[in-house]
Amino acid sequence: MGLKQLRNFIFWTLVLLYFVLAPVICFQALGFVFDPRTISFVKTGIISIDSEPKEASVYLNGALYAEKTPTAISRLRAGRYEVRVEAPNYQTWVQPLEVRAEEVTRAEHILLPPVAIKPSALFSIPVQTIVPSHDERFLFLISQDAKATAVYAFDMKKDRLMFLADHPRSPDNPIASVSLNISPDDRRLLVLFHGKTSDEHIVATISDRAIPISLSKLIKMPIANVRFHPRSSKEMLYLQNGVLNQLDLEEGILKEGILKGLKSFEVIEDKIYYFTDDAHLFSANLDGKEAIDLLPDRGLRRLLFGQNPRNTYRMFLTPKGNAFWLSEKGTLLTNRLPYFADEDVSGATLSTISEKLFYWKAGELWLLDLSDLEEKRQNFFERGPSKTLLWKSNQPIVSVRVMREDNHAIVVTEKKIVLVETEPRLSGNQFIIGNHSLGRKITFYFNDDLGELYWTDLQDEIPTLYHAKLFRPSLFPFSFSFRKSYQSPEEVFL
Amino acid sequence: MIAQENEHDILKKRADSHHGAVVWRRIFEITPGFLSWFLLLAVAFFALTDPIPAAVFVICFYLFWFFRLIYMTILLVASYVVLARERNTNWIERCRDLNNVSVAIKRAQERLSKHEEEVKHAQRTREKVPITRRLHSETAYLRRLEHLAQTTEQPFDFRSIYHVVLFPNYREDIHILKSALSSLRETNYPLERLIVVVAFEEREGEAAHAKADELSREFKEIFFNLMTSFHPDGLPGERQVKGANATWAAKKVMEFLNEEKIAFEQVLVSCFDADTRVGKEYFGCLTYNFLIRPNRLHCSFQPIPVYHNNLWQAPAFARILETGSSYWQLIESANPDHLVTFSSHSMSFQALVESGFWPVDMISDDSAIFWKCFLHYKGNYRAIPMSATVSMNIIIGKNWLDTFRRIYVQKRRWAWGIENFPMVMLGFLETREIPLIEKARHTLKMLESHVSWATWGLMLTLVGWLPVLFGGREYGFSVVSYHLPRIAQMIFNLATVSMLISAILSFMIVPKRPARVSRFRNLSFAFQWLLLPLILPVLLALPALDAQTRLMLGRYLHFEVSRKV
Repeated sequence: MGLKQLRNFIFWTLVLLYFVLAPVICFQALGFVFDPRTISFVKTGIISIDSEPKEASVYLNGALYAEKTPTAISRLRAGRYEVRVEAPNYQTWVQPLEVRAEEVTRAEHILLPPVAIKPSALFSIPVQTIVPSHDERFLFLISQDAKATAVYAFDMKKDRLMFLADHPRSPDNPIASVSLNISPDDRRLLVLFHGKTSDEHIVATISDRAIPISLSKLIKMPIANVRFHPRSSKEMLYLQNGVLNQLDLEEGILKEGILKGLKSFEVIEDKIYYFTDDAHLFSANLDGKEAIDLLPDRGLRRLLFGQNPRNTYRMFLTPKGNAFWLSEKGTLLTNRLPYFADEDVSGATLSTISEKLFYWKAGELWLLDLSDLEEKRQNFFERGPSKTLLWKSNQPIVSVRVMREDNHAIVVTEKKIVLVETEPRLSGNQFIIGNHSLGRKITFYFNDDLGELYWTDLQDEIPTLYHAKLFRPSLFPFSFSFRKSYQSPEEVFL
Repeated sequence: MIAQENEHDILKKRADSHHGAVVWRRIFEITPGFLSWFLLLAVAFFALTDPIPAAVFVICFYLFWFFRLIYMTILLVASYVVLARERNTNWIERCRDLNNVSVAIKRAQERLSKHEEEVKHAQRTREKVPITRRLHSETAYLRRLEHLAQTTEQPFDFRSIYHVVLFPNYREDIHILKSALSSLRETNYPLERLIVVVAFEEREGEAAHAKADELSREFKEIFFNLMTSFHPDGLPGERQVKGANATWAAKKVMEFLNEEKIAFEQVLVSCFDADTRVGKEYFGCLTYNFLIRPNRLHCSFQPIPVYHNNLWQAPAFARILETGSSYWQLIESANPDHLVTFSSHSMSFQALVESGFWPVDMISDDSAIFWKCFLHYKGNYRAIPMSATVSMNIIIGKNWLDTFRRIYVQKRRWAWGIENFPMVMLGFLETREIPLIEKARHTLKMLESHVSWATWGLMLTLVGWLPVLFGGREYGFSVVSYHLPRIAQMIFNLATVSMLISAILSFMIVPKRPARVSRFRNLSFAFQWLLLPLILPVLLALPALDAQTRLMLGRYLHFEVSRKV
């Protein structure tokens, strides 16, 4: 065969191969499979599975399919399949999954906690409450003993405990609750000791041997809510007799009357959000100028203020700027029609990166998802944001923390600590992490970077801080988001 | 200023001269750019609006690219084998053999038998088997001789063949020119048969004259003749392009040949870049290929360009591009029916004169002259691949950024070869003697090669990923969204075999490392191929798209000299 003939032979062979393979591959790519029994093409779907830990075994309807994750089960006809994922020394994940033709059913965020979780106590001091810092490097501990109520900072990465501030115990003014407010740069901590008769405001610098500053030495008391200035941890904004003032902690300089007629305020990024005496909600710049009425709608205003005459709300702001308010009475409101979301709500928490609010009432964990609202472009007047019941327990839920990857939450009830899946299609799966005996007084924190769970529990009748490793470190790398969510700091009752 | 005015007049005249043709010309100028942009934008549009069909198209494209890559790799290896086979061939001896073909056949048969004996002996005694490359070369040579013996036409005596070697240049360093002329001096072809012409531009001024004098002093007595020409600026109908300089010089040569009474049909002209260095056997190989062709006067001869002059100084991304150019020529040489001349090449002086010399208003004179001849001879014209290399410089700038910019400009100029498309299409419309199938094949080849040049790099690295990035939620849950990245990964993994072959070949082609160059440099040659995904879109696809877009919009390119360092 000459060179030219050889070249032509190769060329036309490849052309033929292409025209044979390309349709076959495209059909397969679209999920079509040839069924020799019926001599026809059948549309199929895929189940895609990934887990942590990796290399877990996957069973489909009881039969072993794959010996290690991640894996994909393809060429599945439409229907329901029971999928089981298991690994030695880890709890088992079981879920019925619906497979649709030409679609991928994804179960790619399966977390398997260890079967045997070994908690260990961290400190000898009593710890009633823990609150994480913004950057999740520190855990602030509130410790109350016979002598004082103290606040410590625990550096989780360096394993170091620092004393920040304390309030001596007084029979005339026992401390009922403590509020913690962290500066945006995480260098300072504002501690509000709420006493029976009076409050004390202390600003502590988060480092060893720093002397805390008592605000009562700088300004007259009482003051209403206090927040750090978003641009400088040495400046504070506080409300006194309806007037918003600014204080420089280091210089002692006071700037009075930035805004007047306020009932309460929040500082979020570079804006001040405030309620006024005449039941309006405004936003303004940090110098109090360019105020914008955020609730021109009378209906929502009536709702907001009608629910709670004291106008005390916890505010939640999603990355895209959707707002939720949770009143003391348990009414959950949103700035999207029809404004009213739910009632008898005990607590709520936001996802860090998406438009999801998780809230709980009694033993039910619910999801309010605003993201599908935008994607499906629903008529706001007909339907509000979708509500999904994620999980139910026969015990009331005390608190919930959503993991950074947004697919799981640690849920604490009055007796148990449970890992729950928050993906609505997969919800119902739960893993028991442990039990506790602190009832509603338990506080906990999950560090996504370290994969460690911290919680308070009784040891010989003394509240103690425990921790346990659940997953490998940096399992959930930082998720990039242009904006983060915001939620008002909680008042911690002792 | 004068040159610019002339250029404007030229373009205006072109527009006015053939009123009917101007519409067709514009259509053909727009077509390649339109096709490229249409392809890119259509895929992008569907990726955003209907991602599932777009994803299916992307799969089909990846598969097409992959099969094309296999084909090209096979041709590359085959061409390299042929080139390597003839590496040690004494072409002058073969030229001598042509004076008596029957005797040559006998001698070749004897040599072949002797080689076969050596191989058998080695196999019997289990000694190292002698290289069979020589065997294959002799076998191919014998076949050629036997084929020649069947023709009645007696080839020329090679001693009657003259070679005109043209070096058009503008503002080139003297040492670059000296290096090129020195390589001619070192060939084993009779130097008294070489007529060397160094073609300067008059607008270079006194510097050109000084260089001409220096070259004359050093090289005058070596060749049959060393001529220098000074091309005037602003001649009517001309642009400031290399072809205009080459044509001016060729006309001077024509006068000289007439004075010496040398028949044009005995003259081969090689138009080289100023930095071109030929191998020892170049003219022998050229002469041999000329003599054995029955239709020799209707042929151009294309060597394989390599860029070894300053290989060890060039940055990796520049090296890999020029190696790719060499590979492309090797691949093209495997399909001589569609081969078009590129860069430094040779042809019959008779054909050059009859076709009207190189175009004086086009940048891509190297390929344009082929098409001029093809159209002039009504399709009876071929480019013959030669098993010889010519070495040139890799473009290097003052720093990496400068190098990057110069290479971009050079690639854009190469891609500007698409300016031939309207000329060829108009020629096809006017020439009925060329069979329709030939016209269709050449048209498709030109369009396909230029459109793929401008789009594939971008499709592979950017556009192909648009369905994945912007497909939306519905697409994200589809089976095809699951399969597309996996199919792509599988194809690209398989394609690394081709990259590996290319890397291995690059080691085999590269000259021996000089002592002053560290071994580490050798190692970097292996890893330079990892830059391919970055280089493909930026320094291959974008310049081509740039060139086609300019042609589409009527913003014609000006010739920018690639200064050699």
